[in-house]
Amino acid sequence: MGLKEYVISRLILTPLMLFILLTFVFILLRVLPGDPITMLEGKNIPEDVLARRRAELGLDKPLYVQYLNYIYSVFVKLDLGYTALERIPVSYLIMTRLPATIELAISSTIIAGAIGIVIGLLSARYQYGKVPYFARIYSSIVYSIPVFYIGLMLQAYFARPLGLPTTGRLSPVNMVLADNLPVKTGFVFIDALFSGRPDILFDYLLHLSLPSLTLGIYLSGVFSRVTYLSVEDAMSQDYTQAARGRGIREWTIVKNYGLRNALIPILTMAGLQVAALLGGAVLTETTFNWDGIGLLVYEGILKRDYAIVQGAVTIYAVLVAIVSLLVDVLYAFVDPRVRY
Amino acid sequence: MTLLEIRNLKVSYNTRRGKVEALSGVSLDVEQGEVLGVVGESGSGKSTLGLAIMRLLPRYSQIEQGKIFFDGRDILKLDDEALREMRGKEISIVFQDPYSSLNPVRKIVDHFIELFAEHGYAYEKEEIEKIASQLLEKMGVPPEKLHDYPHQLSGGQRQRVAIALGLALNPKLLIADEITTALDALVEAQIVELLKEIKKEYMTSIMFITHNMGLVAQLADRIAIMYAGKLVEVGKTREVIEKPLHPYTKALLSAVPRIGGSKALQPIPGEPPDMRKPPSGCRFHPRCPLATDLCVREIPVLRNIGDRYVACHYA
Amino acid sequence: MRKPKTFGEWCLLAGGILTFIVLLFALIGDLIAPGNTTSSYIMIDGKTVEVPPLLPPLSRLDIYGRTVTFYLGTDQLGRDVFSRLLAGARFVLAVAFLSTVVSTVIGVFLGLISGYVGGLFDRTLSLVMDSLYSLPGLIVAIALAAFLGTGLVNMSLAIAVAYIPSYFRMVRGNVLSLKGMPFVEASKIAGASPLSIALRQILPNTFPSIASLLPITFADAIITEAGLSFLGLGIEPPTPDWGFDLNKGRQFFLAGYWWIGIFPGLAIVITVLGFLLLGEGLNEVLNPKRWEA
Repeated sequence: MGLKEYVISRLILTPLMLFILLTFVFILLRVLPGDPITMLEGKNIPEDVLARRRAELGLDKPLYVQYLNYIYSVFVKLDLGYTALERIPVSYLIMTRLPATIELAISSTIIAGAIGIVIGLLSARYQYGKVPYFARIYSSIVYSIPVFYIGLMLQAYFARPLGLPTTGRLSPVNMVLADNLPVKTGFVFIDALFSGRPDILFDYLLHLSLPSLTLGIYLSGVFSRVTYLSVEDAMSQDYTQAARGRGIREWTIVKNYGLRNALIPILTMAGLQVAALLGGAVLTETTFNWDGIGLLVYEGILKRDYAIVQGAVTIYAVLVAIVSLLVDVLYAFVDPRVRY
Repeated sequence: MTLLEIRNLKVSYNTRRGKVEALSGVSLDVEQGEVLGVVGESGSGKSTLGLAIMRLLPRYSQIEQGKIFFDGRDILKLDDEALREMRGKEISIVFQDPYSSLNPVRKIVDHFIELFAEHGYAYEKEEIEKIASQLLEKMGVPPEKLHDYPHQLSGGQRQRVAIALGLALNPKLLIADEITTALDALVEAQIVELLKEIKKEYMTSIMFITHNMGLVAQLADRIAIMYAGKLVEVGKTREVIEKPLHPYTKALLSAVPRIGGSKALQPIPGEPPDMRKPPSGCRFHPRCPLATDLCVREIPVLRNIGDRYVACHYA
Repeated sequence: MRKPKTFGEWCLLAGGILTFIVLLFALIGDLIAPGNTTSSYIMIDGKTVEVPPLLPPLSRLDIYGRTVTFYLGTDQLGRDVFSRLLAGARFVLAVAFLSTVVSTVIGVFLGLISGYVGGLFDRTLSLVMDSLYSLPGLIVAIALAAFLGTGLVNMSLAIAVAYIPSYFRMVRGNVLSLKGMPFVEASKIAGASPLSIALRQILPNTFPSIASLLPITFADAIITEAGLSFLGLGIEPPTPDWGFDLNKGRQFFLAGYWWIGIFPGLAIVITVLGFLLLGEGLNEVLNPKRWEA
């Protein structure tokens, strides 16, 4: 098939997938028993206020109209509605908060990846010893600890002795400063770096350390398990024995046969990792008051603001679709059977 | 000169349900430049023999006793690094399944590059490509395939590539463990022809392990017949086929279909024994038409009758 | 019972012990606990006694000649942490059980049909399921719980939807590979109806993989439930719940009252670990891979 055709076919498939995901979000949010308005607004609000709210959100129109409206506004207008109280466009809220979540996502993925790869490598090299057992015990234990519990433990026992901050992205002083930097992308890391403010950057990294450690440890539970299983499976294949028969060194086999072939199932799981990441981000951001999209979801729930929650979930669907596309494209580089 | 000497080799496996002795005291020689056919049913221990020589036995097994001398060296005493150097360079092995001996994510040429690199050859990529290309051609694989991935080749082609990899460093001994079992008859015949050429041109000794009597007849200089972990008959191919001495050998030969043959095929009655508790005395006695009390009581020793070795009380 | 030999068997044993302890406490723990899960009063000999808030673990109250021990302390409203933990166990286990049952039944049913019938129906349903599967489970549960409302049943349903695709995919995969097997062919030739083949031949063969997925889904459901209640979705105070209590406990942590938040968290870890190990062990036993000593 060739690389080009493959990528193009994937590009075409992505909007389709996104479409399905959005339909899902719609079904999840609307077609279920329970009146969203009363759920969110509470049961003590007079009926006419509720009716007005409903009309505002278009909830009084027939379902298919709502559906079409929803698809139209998201796809074409990129409009996700307005918040209930302040009437701020939800898309604006999301755009301003997205960088924080992305920063958290990247840093925790690096941590999780490092742990996972080390575990995977060691399990492959010493596959007949005790190492794989420790790998499985580690991943089981970490998987069992809720991410907010990890966060709580870190906050309680690590923050104080090490002098690390436990909430927010920056100290209040630096937050004001960061708003007025020459470079403003929303990514504090980039802004501080390119505006020549190492002090802000340092403060930021301090604030980033605990949340990303939390989310990173949590993710490493899943990731190390997947890595270990994939590498173990690859190393048990006959081609490793054939390679040994040709006199290839054990470490070379781990590298070229074990890890390299394990990349395929690991990549498959990468999409699920992103799902775990997004879910975990909600809880981590809530724990550390890290104002990304996860915290936005929490606030939306607290404030019973329907538009925010729907907008956030929609964005999640979009992110998932994008990551799926990336994964599919990466597949072409990792697995030659896909290309030819 | 005797290239390979095996003396009294005993290998056992630990399985979940008990210890199984796969080889019970096998003694065998392979001369330089000869093709030795090792024939037996599943469970006879023939594959174990090949793996033992390469010291590639699985973790849950052990070599209980015996000696293996290759080129004068005691293989059982070699350390890991020496073994690694030996594999692929002095003794090569090709396995049964063509679909799982090559790395699916690497091109064919990369396999050769890896092979040379791991054995310390400092050749340039282009040189290796040339060597590999010539090898493939000799094996009957179009050289363009060098830049393909394994899944783009047919089973027969993959097997030839495996053989090419096995011969690339000019080993003295090539162990072919049921290399044609997974291939169809036409391809099988081609590979056998290929092996004949290899023997002629490279003077490589070949240990051809199979369950197919018909194949060994064409290819091997000598045949060794195994049953239930023991050797039952060893001798020159022609002689063994024309005048088999062991009842098992006779039975194997009459089970081989022949074109134009008038006799009906005679399957061997019974089944191969459970190797956790092999039959007493001669292991073949439950299925042997000549079995007597003696056979149940006493284990027959591999005796020398002229050029032949037979393990039967009544040969 | 013999000593476990393989890693899988150790997992099974450890998991079994942990889950047994948890279930034991959940069912009969009330016998030794003070019992004031939602109120700050306890009854001693018919008399109402107010319980002081924020008592540390192992505090004892000597009243009217009786001694009441608050093994894990009391929270900010004077409620006994241990009793809340036990009641929380019952709630959480109930939610996990219900959601596992629902997602298993629906997922297996759909997977069976989809895999067996094939065609456009299968392709569409698979696409739908794959999309659902790619969404984060917590997000799906949040979306649903936000609009289904509070309560045990609603929470369970919200969580169940997130796990339907797992069962669907697994069963469908099994069905696809079993469909072509000789014994199915044989049944067809013998004239069995498709329904009978699906139910009697194929379904039982999927049981091992379903069984190994069950404990893991159960464990996952507990974690998702904890996440939901941590965020404040799905339960109404003062219902005792581990995730919710953990959130509340956060605020008191820095003030030094660590027991309010730590113990619910530990409870989650132990329970989830128990089921997870059970699942791992079951998986090894039902689907052995390596031929080991």
